[in-house]
Amino acid sequence: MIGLLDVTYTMGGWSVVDEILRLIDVRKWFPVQKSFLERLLAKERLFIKAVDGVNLTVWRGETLALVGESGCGKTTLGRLIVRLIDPTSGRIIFNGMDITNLQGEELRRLRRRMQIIFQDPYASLNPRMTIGEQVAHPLKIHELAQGSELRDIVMKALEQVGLTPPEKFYNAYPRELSGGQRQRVAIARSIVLKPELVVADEPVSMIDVSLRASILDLMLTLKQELNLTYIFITHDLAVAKYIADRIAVMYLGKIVEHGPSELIFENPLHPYTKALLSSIPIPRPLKEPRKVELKGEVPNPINPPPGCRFHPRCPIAGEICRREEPELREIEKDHYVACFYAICS
Amino acid sequence: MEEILSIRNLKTYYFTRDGVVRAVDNVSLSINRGELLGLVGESGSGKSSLGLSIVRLIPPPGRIVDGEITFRGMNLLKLPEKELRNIRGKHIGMIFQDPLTSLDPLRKIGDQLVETIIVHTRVNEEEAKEIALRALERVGIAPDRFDDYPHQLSGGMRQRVMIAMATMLNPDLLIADEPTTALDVIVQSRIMDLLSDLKKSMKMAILLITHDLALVIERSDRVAVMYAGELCEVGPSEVISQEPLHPYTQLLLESIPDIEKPRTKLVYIPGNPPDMRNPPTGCRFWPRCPKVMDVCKRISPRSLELDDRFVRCHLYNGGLECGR
Repeated sequence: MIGLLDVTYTMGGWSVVDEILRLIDVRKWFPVQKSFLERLLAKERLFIKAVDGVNLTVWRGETLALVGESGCGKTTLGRLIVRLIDPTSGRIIFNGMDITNLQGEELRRLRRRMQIIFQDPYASLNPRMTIGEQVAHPLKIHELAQGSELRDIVMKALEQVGLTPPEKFYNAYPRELSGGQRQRVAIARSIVLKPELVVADEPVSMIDVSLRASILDLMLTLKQELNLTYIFITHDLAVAKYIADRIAVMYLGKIVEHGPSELIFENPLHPYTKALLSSIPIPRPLKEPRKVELKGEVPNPINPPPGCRFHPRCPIAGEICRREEPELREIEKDHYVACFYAICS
Repeated sequence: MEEILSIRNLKTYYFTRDGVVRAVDNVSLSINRGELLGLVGESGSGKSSLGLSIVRLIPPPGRIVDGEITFRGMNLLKLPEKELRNIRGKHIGMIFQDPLTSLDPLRKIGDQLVETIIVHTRVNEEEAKEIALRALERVGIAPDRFDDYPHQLSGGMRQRVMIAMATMLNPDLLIADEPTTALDVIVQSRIMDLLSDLKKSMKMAILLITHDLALVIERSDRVAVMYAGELCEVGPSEVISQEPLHPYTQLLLESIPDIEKPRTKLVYIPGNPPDMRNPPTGCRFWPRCPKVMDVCKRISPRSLELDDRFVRCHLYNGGLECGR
């Protein structure tokens, strides 16, 4: 058992909080396909270092937002957590149990306790299954209910996600539903097993603007009702601010900063977080052009820069940043930053 | 202010097997020289069809049914296709959401730029290359990228190549349909800075089409809000952000999280956007409107104009003051 109980500071005072998930130095390197000629010449094997040494703890009952730009590794990390893909190295601890190498029946049992919601509700639902069948499917796989009991559970789940009256949706097919309604079905399917942890990968980015807030609110309500823990993956910091208790910022396969949501927004410490925050549009006219001081674009994850991965784009990079890789340090209570120049203001 | 484009009572319908989709239904809108006009709406609101109608690129089974589009004094809807082809790309530039599909993957970006220039002007290859290099420089792409293929560039760079291509012949109007939707926020911010610069330095009119209301308000001079094929409200972005008139605009503004404000409960719009083959009678927003009245369900609201604002809502039938 590793650190199942921990004392931490949460909003309002000291309390005992327990850990639901811990990632220890998790890596996922995808091999790059090589041509026949390259293999013949026995060139060095190349890897896309999608996730490259992530350490993170998630507390029971919280919503942790994993934010970053496309290609930073946030989706890969989400898939690693629910064991859809296997890590190259590192350990994943869920409820004190090392699940890194679980296989077969044990892995199947684990899936009851952690679920994932995908970005695209048009691709994640089976077009040939009715809504009722889709939501019942996980219950059947895990042999948890059948017959009228199964139907009752599904009906209740549909009602819980706001697809009312449930009878109207039970026999419908996905094509009859709007994007927002489909995402509700995907949510119903993920909660029907009463999981402890739900990984939501960009659940609102393909939903119409006018409906996004309703999906976010639904997720917050379900979290309360079912005592869920969320890992919420998003590129949208405004959405993260709305839903998350804690935020972890990823850049090129690593977490560069994490801490309570308010601290990240009020006192961002990593230059990358600062750049991200200063580029989010706000619904008021700009008086002058934004000044984003970052140079260039995200480098290739096959060959990340030496030292701090962010240094080629960083406005404050110094000599040390080119040579050494900064570790996450606690700069203020619960607020961790991987930057040599981060100081608490 | 010089009006560069004026759209009057435009109707663009799609004649599908399942019925007629009135994607753009009686829309009137104009853009001035040196102005960035933001057209905002949800998916299916008809905003992209409006943009495509201007350059007459509506794909079948769609068709412009009625209306008038005047560009620098010419009615584009009456122009022969051959003349229109010269206007597209030269006088009206276009950028679309996905730069990967808009560029030919098998040809060097420099060659693609040069070809476009030669098609539209009388310059020789040498001069065309010069124009192309200048255009690339303006969008911050180094000359050594001239011989790169599209796949060798990042998404942000490809979009900048598209902007270079769309603006290198100094068009009067640039139509940018979701130009930054596929890009990350930092890159988005830079692309928008670039568009603002072009607007100022070249006195270009820009029609920015997007679903992102925050982006539109932040960057546009004027905002036009579209819902279910119709315009609900048009006005200066400053005014729209402070005092939106149409309930749809009001709700949209309250439904987007604002990172500069403390976390408050977001408002959301009940229901779903309508099925466009069978939109509601009367005002198309009434089934989702919190301020719905009897008249809204029966009669389509007329357009009200006051100074630089425009709104279509029964709340203001007695004058713009009464609904507030």
